[in-house]
Amino acid sequence: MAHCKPRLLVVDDDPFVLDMLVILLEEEGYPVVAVENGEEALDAFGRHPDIGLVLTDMNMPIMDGMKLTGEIRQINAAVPILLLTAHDDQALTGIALERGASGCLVKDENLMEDIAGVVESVLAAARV
Amino acid sequence: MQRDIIVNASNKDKKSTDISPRDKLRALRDKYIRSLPHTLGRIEARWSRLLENKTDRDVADSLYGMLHTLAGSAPSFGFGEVGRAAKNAEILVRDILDDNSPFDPEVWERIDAGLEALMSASIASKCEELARQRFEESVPVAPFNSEQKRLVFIVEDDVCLLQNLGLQIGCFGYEVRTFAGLEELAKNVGETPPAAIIMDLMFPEGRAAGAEAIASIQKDAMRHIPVIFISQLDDFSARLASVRAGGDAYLTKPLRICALIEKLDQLTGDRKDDPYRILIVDDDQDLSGFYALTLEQYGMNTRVVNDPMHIVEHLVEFHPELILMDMYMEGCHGDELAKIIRQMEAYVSIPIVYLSSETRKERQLSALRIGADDFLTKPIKPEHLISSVTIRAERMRIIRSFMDKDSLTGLLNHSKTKEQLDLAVLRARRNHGRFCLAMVDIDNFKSINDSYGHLAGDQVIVMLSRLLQQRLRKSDVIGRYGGEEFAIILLDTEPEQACRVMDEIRENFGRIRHESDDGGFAVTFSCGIAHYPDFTDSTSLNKEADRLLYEAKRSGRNGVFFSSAPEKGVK
Repeated sequence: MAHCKPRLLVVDDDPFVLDMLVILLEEEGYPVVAVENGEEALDAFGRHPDIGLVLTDMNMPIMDGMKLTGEIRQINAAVPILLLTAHDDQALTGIALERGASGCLVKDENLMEDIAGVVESVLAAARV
Repeated sequence: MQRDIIVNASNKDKKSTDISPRDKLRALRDKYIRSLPHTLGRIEARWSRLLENKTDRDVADSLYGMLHTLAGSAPSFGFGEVGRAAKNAEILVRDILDDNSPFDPEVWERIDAGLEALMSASIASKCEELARQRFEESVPVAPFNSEQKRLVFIVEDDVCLLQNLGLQIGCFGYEVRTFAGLEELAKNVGETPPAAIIMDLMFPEGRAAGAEAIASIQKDAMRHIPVIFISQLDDFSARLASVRAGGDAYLTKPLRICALIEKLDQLTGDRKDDPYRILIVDDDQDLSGFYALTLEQYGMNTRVVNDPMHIVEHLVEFHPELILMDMYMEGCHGDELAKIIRQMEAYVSIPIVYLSSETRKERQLSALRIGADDFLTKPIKPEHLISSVTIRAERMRIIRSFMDKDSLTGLLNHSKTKEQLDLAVLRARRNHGRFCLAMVDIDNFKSINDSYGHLAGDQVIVMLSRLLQQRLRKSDVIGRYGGEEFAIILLDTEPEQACRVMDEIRENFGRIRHESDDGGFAVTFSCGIAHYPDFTDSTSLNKEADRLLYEAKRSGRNGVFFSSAPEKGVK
């Protein structure tokens, strides 16, 4: 089933977190495009029509994750968007979901362990 | 635009395919840890700029951004405490930004406290991290029997005793060559000098012919060869002859094999006690250097810390057994430092000796109350320093060994063994590693005690513990689990391999003749081996090893059982 994994767009302004996510997801066999802010993400999204999931940090300079979610939804209604937040903020999560995010994931100690599983399940949910 | 991975960028000459994702992650994490002080420094700098000009929104904004980034990245790399502290500080700064009335002194104080909490959380995390690395690096797993066997010569004209000794000493991991006469020995000793010689004193050539032979061997030898004389004679002149010939030990027949092995281990092994590790904390470089020199001349291992703020790192890295500390230092007072040290669980009981020119009794007393063990007033005489430090470090080591070790065998005691098992499970989980837990129980131990007395029983236990120490690797954990029960953790080992090693030990143990007043006897043991990850927590590992041990007992004892691959997971 997983002989061809979809391309992921990963967005985070913190180079350490970005690299960590890339390493973890590439290990799972996903091709990954990594960029540092919402604007670059939007640009990359336009250039790679095969992107199957967007994983983005919430708080970033130039264009944040919330705005990016809104922008992507204008051009693509289906692609799953997973937001990463530093805090478990219910209100913010609510707004993000309203804008069309598929889910929010808190950057906590479990991130490293959880990320691959969460991405996989969001992709699976999107396929149904 | 696609970015390079930081880790690869810093390892340009290494192809990325050479590095496993796990190593990449570890390198990234290390890099992150190394970057933390810089990040914290930038946060602190922003904070002081903001204090100078409290209305500077740009500075407040960038401070907020840095804290926010840290709040997200630190937990992602496993530093939850740092993340939470950063988050708290971030929320406070947010308040100022939102409020637009940034002049409430209480808010500023709270931010200041929040940032301080962040700094100390970072220090604590770094310390944990160092401890973790230390733990992971401290267990190199060597292959079994990789250490070269030490060669021992046995010279004895009683051929029966000679053979018996050869067999028994061989069981303890020594390579043995036996000689029934002095001439034979003289021919061979020049070729391959042994690690030790076990020498009978009396030969047909004369009452102390053994001693004479040794004296001439020692004269020609490049270096002193340890010699154990064995003899029926227990008189002064025989002992004197042995000492004059350069003998290191003198044992009388009938020999207690246990005592012989102990001497042999002592003479051939490098089981010298490690030097005491002393941490010296003093902001006066000359003085601390002088203390270090004094203690090192006395054979101790020292490390000097001139900046008290860095003590935590040194504690974890150096693992001192005693801290020698100046009372008055810039930046951090001695008793504050003692408090910090005492608040770390691993150092609750470490001896702290103050050095100070403080002569006021009440001040000294308050320092002692916090946990200082002694107070040396400057100027300090070197001999006073040495004796104060030696006494306390020595006492600490003894207390430590009482806490961790079984008094009869010197192996880890029950609770320490369990602790090691828990650690092994944690480590294997993190590293996707494997290990075996072997439970060993001496067969029919009760009847040994009943027939030959408790002393003989104790001797059997000591013997087995020595054999286990001899035959297993340094990295393996050996504990006395109960009366006649031993638990062994064989790191990085497959069950088949563990079974082979334990079975070899079982065979060797069965060959040993134990002596008692009521005659000699042989003893066997049974063993059950459980394997991680077939069983993934200490309790189930324990249970499985016990179950297999019981099975070994039921099917006739003197055997080693493990769950072989086909029945893996079968309960």
